[in-house]
Amino acid sequence: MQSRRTFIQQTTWLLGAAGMAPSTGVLAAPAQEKLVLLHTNDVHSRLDPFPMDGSRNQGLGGVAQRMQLIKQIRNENKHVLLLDAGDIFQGTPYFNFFKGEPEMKAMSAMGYDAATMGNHDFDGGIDNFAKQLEHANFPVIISNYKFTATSMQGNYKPYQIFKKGRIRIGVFGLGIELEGLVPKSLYQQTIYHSPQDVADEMALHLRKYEKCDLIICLSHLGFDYGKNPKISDVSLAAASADIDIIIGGHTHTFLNEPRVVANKAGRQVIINQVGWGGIYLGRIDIEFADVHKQKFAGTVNMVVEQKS
Amino acid sequence: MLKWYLVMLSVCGIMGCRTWHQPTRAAWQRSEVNNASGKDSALWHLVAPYRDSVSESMETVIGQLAVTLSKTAGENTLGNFVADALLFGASTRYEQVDLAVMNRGGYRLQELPAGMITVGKVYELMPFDNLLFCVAVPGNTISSMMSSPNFSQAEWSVSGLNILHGSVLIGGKPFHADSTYYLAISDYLAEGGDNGNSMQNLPRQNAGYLQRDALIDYIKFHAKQGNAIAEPDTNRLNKKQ
Repeated sequence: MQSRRTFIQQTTWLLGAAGMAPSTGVLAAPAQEKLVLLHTNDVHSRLDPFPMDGSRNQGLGGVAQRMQLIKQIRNENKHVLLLDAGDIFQGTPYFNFFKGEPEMKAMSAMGYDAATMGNHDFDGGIDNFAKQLEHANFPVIISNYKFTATSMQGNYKPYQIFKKGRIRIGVFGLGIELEGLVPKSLYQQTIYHSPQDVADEMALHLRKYEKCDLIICLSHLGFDYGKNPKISDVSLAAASADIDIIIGGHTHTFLNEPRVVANKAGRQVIINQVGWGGIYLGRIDIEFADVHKQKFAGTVNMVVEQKS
Repeated sequence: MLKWYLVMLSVCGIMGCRTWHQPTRAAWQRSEVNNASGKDSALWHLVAPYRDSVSESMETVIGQLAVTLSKTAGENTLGNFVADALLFGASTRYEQVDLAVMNRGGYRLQELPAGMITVGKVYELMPFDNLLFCVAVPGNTISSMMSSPNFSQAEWSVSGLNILHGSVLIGGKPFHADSTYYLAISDYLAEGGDNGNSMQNLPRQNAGYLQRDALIDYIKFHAKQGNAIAEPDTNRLNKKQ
């Protein structure tokens, strides 16, 4: 039997939806939702801070140090989504020795919600990556690799919906072309599909059929290749529709602030990337307003600003 | 009043009304990860056994060096040692390998001291995760390579190639400009780094084998034979006899 309390909550929700919140305090519209998106990319097996050897990055990074920041943010915020844009593996002896096991365990302990695959995640071979996923409690999301004839079959998701409060977030992943970058012996029968085509399909599906409020593309394509026709986050964003945010990697780009690019409908796409090695933790706080419509409005640009 | 809400609800039901949550504001921040806010002890302890094991492995002795090798000006013992190791390592991974080259910037110690060689020392010598490729090089490209400053100024060390009284020998046999030679070389140089751009379009094999692993395998091979590694010769490009 439905309790009165539940009934009031549901009615409140619907009233809020109809934009007709009554003046009585009991039936006030719910507060706006807020999501804190945290992200890393190209951590490259940097479990410990960079060594104190006089180099530029000495003392920076480290999973125990990153966790400290994440914990603090989780304490202060109800809805946090933690993502990684690939190249988890390769770069310190940890990977040479343990093939990715401690990296996967650390990311699981940190509560990562998802990661996509970078080219270096194939470095121990695709079978190794699939095997190391036994140590991961988060999904690997990759939409433009088809793994049918490989050990990754059944071990990845083409996209995933995350529900944070009343917000539906759709996340899909794009990997870089492997041929010429990764030896075939390592990626084996992995089939690469055009990121642009797959992104269009994914974003449309997530918006129209999965009714997502926010669509995030986790990309390991690289930030920007200028006049080179090779697909990048910037060129993808400009030719896209329905992607709200691209969390990028591969080019180890230290963006001082996210790049905002207009998509083909003139609506803005936010692109961010935080270098490499776990030196920085990226953060975007997103506020949502209730809109009562049959279809997603899709015309309102977010105000993008530095967090005060 | 309740009745009126229910009317609205059914209207919404027919119209397919839905509440979307429109993102309106994105406030970004980039936080440096450092020791200022301390470290999480659970994560620290999760990594600890791996850390201890890596440290221990880094201290593992894998072989012996008979004399101290140095990175001096011109053709030098340390560079030739590395080139020899690459030729050896490549021959375990590729069907045919005739010669190997190594650029001065790719090995990072000034000297490798005589005595025990640890894994950690090899990581110091070769910190980069460069792969060892095998590139099929036409003889005339070898000729132009030899006349380049990389060779004349001994910026590159070489193994498997000797110049004896002005004649070039590869694998001990006379060099032919119309033959194809198989060159063990880093992915960095093969992709055109260090002005090695004459190689960018040549066919190559990639076994996913790191240069550093070639060094480790070379040192271990000698240890298995019970030998300390001897000083390599340094007159490969200018042999008098």
